[in-house]
Amino acid sequence: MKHFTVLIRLLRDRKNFLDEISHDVKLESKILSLLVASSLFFAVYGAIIGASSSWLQMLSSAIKLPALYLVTLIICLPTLYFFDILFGSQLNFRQYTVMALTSVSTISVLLFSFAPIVLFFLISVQGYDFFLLLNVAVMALTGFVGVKLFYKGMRIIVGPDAIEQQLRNRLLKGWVVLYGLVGSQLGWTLRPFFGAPNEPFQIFRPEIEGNFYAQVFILIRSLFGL
Amino acid sequence: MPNLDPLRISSHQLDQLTGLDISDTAMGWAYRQSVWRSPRKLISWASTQIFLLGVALVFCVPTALLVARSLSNGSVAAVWRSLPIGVGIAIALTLALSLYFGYQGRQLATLSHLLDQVDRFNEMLTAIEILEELQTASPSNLSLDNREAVLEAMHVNRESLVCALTTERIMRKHQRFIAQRYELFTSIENNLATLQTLKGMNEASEYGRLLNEALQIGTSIHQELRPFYSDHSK
Repeated sequence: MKHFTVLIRLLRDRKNFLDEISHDVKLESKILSLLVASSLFFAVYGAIIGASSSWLQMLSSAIKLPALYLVTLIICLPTLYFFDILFGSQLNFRQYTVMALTSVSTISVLLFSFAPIVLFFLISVQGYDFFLLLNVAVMALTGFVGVKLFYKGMRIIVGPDAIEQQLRNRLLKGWVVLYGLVGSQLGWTLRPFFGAPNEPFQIFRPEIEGNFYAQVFILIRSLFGL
Repeated sequence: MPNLDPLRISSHQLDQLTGLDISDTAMGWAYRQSVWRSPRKLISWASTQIFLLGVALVFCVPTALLVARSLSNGSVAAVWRSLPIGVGIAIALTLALSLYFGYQGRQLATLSHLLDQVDRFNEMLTAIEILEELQTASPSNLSLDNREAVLEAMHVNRESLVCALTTERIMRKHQRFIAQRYELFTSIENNLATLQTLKGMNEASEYGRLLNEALQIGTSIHQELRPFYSDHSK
C-alpha cells in the first residue's frame, strides 16, 4: 500500500515532502498516490453522508464526492499555472499538480478523520437539516485547513526570491477564492450528496438554477425557525 | 562488521542516474518488464490498475452524467442512459493508459534489464550482510577467506551498474553521437575482466557462489550495453 505511505509522508514530514516537490523528485508516483489515496478517503466520507438516505445514494455520493474535489482541481489548475508562470514562477505543471493534490489529499484525510463523528451523529440524531449543516461545517473547516496549508506550501516552494513576489501572493489568494467558488458551485450542480428524507433516490436534482450560498442561508433560517 | 549501505544503490540514486521516477513496477510513465515475471510485482501492478480504474470512474462518470443532463435539458432518462457511456470511457481510459505504459516499457527494455540487475545487486548485498551476521554468531561454521574478494567484486559491479545506467540515460537522451560512451564501455569491459580474475581465484565456498553471481551481473550489464556500441561501429 505504497500509495498511502506517500500520503502519510506528506502529513508527517511535510517539509521534506515540499522540498522533494521543489526539486522535482518522484513527482509521477506522488501524483498517482495522492490521486488514489484522496479518491478513496473522499469515497468513504461520501458513502457515509449518502448512507443517511439509501444504499443507492450511498453509492452515488461515494463517486460524486471525490469527483467534486478532483474535478474542481482540474478546472482551476490551469488558471493557477498560467497566471503564476506569467508572473515569474519557475515551477513546472507537474509540480503545480502535486502541490494542488497535496491540498486535496489533506482535505480528504481530515474529512476521513471526521467520519466516525459524522457517523455517530447520523445514527444518534434524526434531523436532516442538522446533519446537512454539520457536514457543511465539517467540509468548510477541512477545506479551510487544506487550502491554508496549500497556500503556505506554495510560498515555501516558490521561495522568497521569486520575481513579483507580492503580486504572486495576491494571485495565489485569488486562486484559493476561485477554487472555493468553483467547488461550491460544482457541489451545487452535482447534488444531492445526502438525499432528502422520504424522497426517492435522485441521481441529480431536477432543478438546475440556484446556488450553494443561497441554500446554506435558507438552511440556517429553517434551523432557527426564522 | 563494515556497513554495506554505502555500496547499496538507493532509490534516490536510481532516480538521479536514470532521470526517471523508478519504483518496483514502473520507470517514470513506463512499466518494468519484470512486472510480468514476479507474482509480488504483478499483484502490486494489478492493485494499481484497480485504483486507476477507480480514479477514472470518479472523473468520467459524473462528468458524463452532467454533460448528458445539460445536453438533454435535464432529462432523467438521458442521464441514466449516459451512465454506461461514462463507465465505458473510464474503462477505455484505464486500458489506454496501461497499453501506453506497456509500450513505453518495451521502448525502455535495456533500462528495465539494468534495473533488474540493480535489484539483484542490492539483494546480494543483503545476502552478504546476513552471511556476516551468521559468521559473527558462529565463527567456526563459515570461512572468511574470500570475503575481501566478494566485496571487491561488489565494488566493481556497482561501478559497472552506475556506468551502465549513466550510458543508458545518455543514449536515451541523445540517440546519435556520444563520444563519452566509448570511455564508459571500456570501463565496463575492464570491470568484467576484474570480476573474471576474482572468480578464478575463489572457486569454492559461499563467497565463491556470491562471486559467481557478481560475475553474472557484470556479464549481463556488458551484454545489455553491447548493442549500443556495435550499432555505432557499423
